[in-house]
Amino acid sequence: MTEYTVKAYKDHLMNEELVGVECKSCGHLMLPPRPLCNKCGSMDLRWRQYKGKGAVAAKTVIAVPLTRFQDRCPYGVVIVTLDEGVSISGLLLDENIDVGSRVEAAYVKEEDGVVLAFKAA
Amino acid sequence: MTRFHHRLHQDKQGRELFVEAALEAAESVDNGFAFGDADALYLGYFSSDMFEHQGHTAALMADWLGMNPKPAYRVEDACASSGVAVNAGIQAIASGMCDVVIVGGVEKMRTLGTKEVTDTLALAADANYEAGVGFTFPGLYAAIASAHFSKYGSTWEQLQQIAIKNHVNGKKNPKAQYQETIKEIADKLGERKGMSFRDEMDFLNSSLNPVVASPLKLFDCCPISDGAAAVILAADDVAKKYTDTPVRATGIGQASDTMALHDRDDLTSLRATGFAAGQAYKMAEVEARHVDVACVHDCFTIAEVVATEDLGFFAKGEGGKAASEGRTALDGEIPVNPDGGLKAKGHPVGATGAGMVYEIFNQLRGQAGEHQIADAEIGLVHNVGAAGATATVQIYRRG
Repeated sequence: MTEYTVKAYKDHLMNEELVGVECKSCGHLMLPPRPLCNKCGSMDLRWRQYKGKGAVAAKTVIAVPLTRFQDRCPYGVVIVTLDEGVSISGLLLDENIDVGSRVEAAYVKEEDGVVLAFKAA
Repeated sequence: MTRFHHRLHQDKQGRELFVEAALEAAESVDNGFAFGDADALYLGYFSSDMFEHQGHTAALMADWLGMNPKPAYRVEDACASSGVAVNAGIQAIASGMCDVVIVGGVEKMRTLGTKEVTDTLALAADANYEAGVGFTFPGLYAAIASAHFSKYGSTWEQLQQIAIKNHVNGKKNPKAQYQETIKEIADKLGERKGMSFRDEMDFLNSSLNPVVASPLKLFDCCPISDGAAAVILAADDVAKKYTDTPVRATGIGQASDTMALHDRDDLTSLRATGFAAGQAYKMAEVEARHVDVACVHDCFTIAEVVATEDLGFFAKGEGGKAASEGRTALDGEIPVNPDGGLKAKGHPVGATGAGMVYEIFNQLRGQAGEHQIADAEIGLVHNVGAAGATATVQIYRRG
């Protein structure tokens, strides 16, 4: 069975590590990890750690929240394109961040795990 | 189809809504139709589980229509559930397995409050990597809007022209949830709150139009709705038995894309729409410029902008400008969402794709009433699941 699971990703987040996989066959980078390459189909993968720094590609501030996030409301969410070229969604911790702003990963610990977040770099 | 509405159906369950829609479809068949004539049922229902604590809804609806022992299939592809059901029904007929198929969809959403509906709709996003970091469904389209504004310089003011247009159209549609223009809503709410508004934009800029997920405000979002829609499909040679004026499905397309929005190279476009449209245009041997009338998936105002670009009606980045110039209005060069769209007609998630087919059927038969597009011959239906991980397109032609 694959080791590239959601659980493994979340376990790494607990250690403040942002990990995905790299395809050994075609070099494609993926974040979060997946059991097979979504570009070439290879299962010949290796772990790849990302630095968590990048630029905001899209941003919103949510006023009608998910129940789980209602105590934070209003809260920002961003899609960040990391310097390595992959993109990921995260909670936004800082104000005055817009599309194009530089951000870095932060790890928000909650009772049931960690939420990936970004703050101004 | 039933009227789509937020209050009207509160004493009905999904099964009653779907039967109501299917009965209207059967009664509209020129030479008569019995549910037993159908060889199969394809039903779109996104989340009966959460909304009605009911699974296995295709068998339920087939039973309630008296179709046993005909096979019934439930399709769950988020907001594209019945668009996919329609495609599946067309494929069942094209395969030769079926001569007549009932396709449709239903969603009974108003059993839950806005907060629980927000949680339920977010199930259509990636639970771990999108909803898990706080993304709501409006939030995903808000992210698309932020990227579109940044890349193309499109504006929130342009988006408002879509909401205004779709309410103007919805006012003419007796099936629409909101049969009022935004100006009429502004005047009504203003009177209640002791406020007055010069025009629509004055109202849309006011505190009565709060932010849902910036930059999208309340009137950028489709409402929460109950409703059902049903369509009867028949093979070409069989259809003659039922009517002399059929509407022909001449092309279909469907595509998938990454589950998570953040995995797309371009956040300003739904690739699945482009792929699905390409297939449908090719099969129907038409191009975007030949389409006389279109129902596109405007779950949010920005979604209509992106759809009209991805379907090839306008160049990328030009959709907002085109809408604000009236090019998609009832009297424009390509009328989009003459029925009021999801914005004004309502969006009972699983019923939406079939509800669009209902509209195009009426348009191509010249029986759309006050919102009829004169001489419409070729119609397009575009249905999207969540933020574009699924898209379907169908081309229809007057028979």
